[in-house]
Amino acid sequence: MSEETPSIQLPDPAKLVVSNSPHMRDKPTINKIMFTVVAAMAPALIAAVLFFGLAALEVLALCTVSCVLAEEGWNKLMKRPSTWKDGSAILSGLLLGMNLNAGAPWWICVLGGFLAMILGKQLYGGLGYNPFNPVLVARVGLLIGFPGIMTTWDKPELGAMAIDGVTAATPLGLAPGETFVQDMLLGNVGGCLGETSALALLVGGAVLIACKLIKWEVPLAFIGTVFVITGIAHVMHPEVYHSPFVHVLSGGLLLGAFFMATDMVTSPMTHKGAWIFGFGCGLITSLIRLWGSYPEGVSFAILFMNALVPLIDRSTIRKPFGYTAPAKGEA
Amino acid sequence: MSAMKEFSKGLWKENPVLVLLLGMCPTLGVTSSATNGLGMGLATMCVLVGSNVVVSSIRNVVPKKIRIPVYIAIIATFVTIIDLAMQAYAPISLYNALGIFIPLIVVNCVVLGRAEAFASKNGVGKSVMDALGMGLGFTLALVALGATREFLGSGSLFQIKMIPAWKNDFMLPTSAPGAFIILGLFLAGMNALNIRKARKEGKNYKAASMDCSTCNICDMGEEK
Amino acid sequence: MSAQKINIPMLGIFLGGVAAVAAGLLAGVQTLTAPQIEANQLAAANEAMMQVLPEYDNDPTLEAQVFQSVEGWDVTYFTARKDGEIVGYAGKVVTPEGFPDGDGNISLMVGLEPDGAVGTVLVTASSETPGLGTAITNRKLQKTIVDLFSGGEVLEGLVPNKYLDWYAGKTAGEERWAIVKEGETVNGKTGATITSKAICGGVYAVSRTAIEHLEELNNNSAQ
Repeated sequence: MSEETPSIQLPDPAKLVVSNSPHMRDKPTINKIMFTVVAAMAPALIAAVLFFGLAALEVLALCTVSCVLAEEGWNKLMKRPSTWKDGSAILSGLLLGMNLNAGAPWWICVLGGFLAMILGKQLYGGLGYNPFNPVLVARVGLLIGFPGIMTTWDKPELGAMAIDGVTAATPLGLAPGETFVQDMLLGNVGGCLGETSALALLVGGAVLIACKLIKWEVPLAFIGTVFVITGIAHVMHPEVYHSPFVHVLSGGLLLGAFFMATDMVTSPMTHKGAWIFGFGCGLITSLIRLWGSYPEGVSFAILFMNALVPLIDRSTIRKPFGYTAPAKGEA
Repeated sequence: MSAMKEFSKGLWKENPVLVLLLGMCPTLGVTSSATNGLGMGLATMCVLVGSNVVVSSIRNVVPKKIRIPVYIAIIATFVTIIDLAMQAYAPISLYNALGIFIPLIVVNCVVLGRAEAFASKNGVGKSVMDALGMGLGFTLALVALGATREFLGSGSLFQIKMIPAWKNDFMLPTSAPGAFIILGLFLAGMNALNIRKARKEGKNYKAASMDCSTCNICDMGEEK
Repeated sequence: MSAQKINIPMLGIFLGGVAAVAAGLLAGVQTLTAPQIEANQLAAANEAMMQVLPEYDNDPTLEAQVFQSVEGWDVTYFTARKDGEIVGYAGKVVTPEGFPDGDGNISLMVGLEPDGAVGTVLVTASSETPGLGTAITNRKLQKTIVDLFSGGEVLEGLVPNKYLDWYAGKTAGEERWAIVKEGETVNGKTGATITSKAICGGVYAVSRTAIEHLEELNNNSAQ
């Protein structure tokens, strides 16, 4: 739409301008990136289907289809070229599905797809312009909208193919001491589709880092901060707070740290910025988990830090070699 | 300008909520349902008419130096009257829902803005038309917002379920974040309509600018 | 207006005059509306009591007694009578066991039979999570467009709420009632366990304390 509104002033081309991320030196297409990420998610997807059965497959499929349809519907409405083939809608759909409970009703998936694609992405101008992670916009919108449905989790059962699950509490909702790190590593705990198996998420995260699709600083700083802060709390009051291992392995932390916080569009461009971003996410997550009224704070933390990304980028941008700041008063 | 024009400008062209962006606090705060929006809008309209009439009828007597305190006193009087009257005669649930926002009409920019920008410079007749138009525009915007939020939230309008099969209430539109989202969508829609209209007429759309050069609410920088 | 000289006393007098007129006007309006507002407030305060009690003809607020429950909460009992005979009590209690997201307080008004058995339960104030805890606490009438056009029966009196209606007819024993979450008759809701338990405890306290002090309640009333 920007080319149709001549009132917008283009920046002076003589000045150097840093454009929106991502910045790439080779030529990966959006397509290639998106499908690599989907491939990296495969272990977690398989784990979800193993533990939650057909219901998981149903939720994932519904979310993907509704994301694609919402994006295409908007493109039609705005008379823009079709974009679903770049894979970003499919990826968002899968990630959205990973953020839902296996027993989520169909209309939750459809509404989530709509919120993610329209409210989270297209209203800002489409892929690359969205300040917030679209999937988290949808997740938080649904969480505020339907607190009852969004905080009821199905109990996973290895190899279960039944559609009707038994509900179980997420580990963070249980009292300290009731949880088992082993179960959480494999995925035998209640939670949304993507949070169950920590191991599968770690494998996926390693693939992403190996392919250099995400900055390793973000998950490291994120998880590290949560570990340290919850560790201090646990040492001081072990009967009130979970051990840091439980905090790191449970809930959406691994999913959020590897797949959500590292979203190219909504995370900082600089390496220093990535450290700050990850630390901020970890700090807010820990605060919400330890003292907030929601058991889980990963989505809120990432969204909050998303809003700060332009600021982080601006203050951590690398100075060109030999650059001297103009004397005060000139600028 | 004819009296009709004074009336109608508040409805669309200079709508206090959707164009002038005045009175955002009650707009965001009370519009969780259509009923609340209607109650708040009508209460504000009553205050607006009363204050505009009084301000414009004493506009030649009030010393300029103390006009703002005098206007505030007039507005506060009307607001307190409305507050007491609603407490006595309005349904208790409506009064409870509007709660703190009724006394806050005193500092609603719409009311003081119209007193200063219009009533203090125009006759009683015109000021009444202006107040009615602005008040109605405010009410319509609040009802539209309230109805949208209520319908998206629970499928009902004025507390009556329009879709009986709607079982799970969607809390997002009726909560505070939802108020910002829906208001943002309304403003975007308003701009889209205006841009389209301007384009049809072959003109360049210029958004209502809110800087001091075009605003006449205060006499910023103007020597009188 | 342009060339006014600053005349502070004049300005002061003018402003004072405006304030005096405003004050006079407000005094008048207040005198006019005061009786109505008072009546409204009284009606709102007694509404909850009227809803949980059977028909009565005395003023139960005049026969209020406060006892302490086992948990240490103050329970206020209002005696309702018709033609001098006790027809029931209304027990008012605030339980602090609600969801700590808000202030955690839930105010209950519980109608009791003359023998201490629970009748109607009403939540008069709470800060539970909307959509989660409020499903248990609310007795909110939901009219649909279908009702409007069919012109059929309009529900009179209290709106049923299966979680609150569970307590009707129960009498407190030594232990609190258990939370029943599934099936036809329930008093607990999945995802709102804290709220369910808090209300259960509050209703239990009202019934149990009434049974413990039944004699005093009766004697006081017999005066």
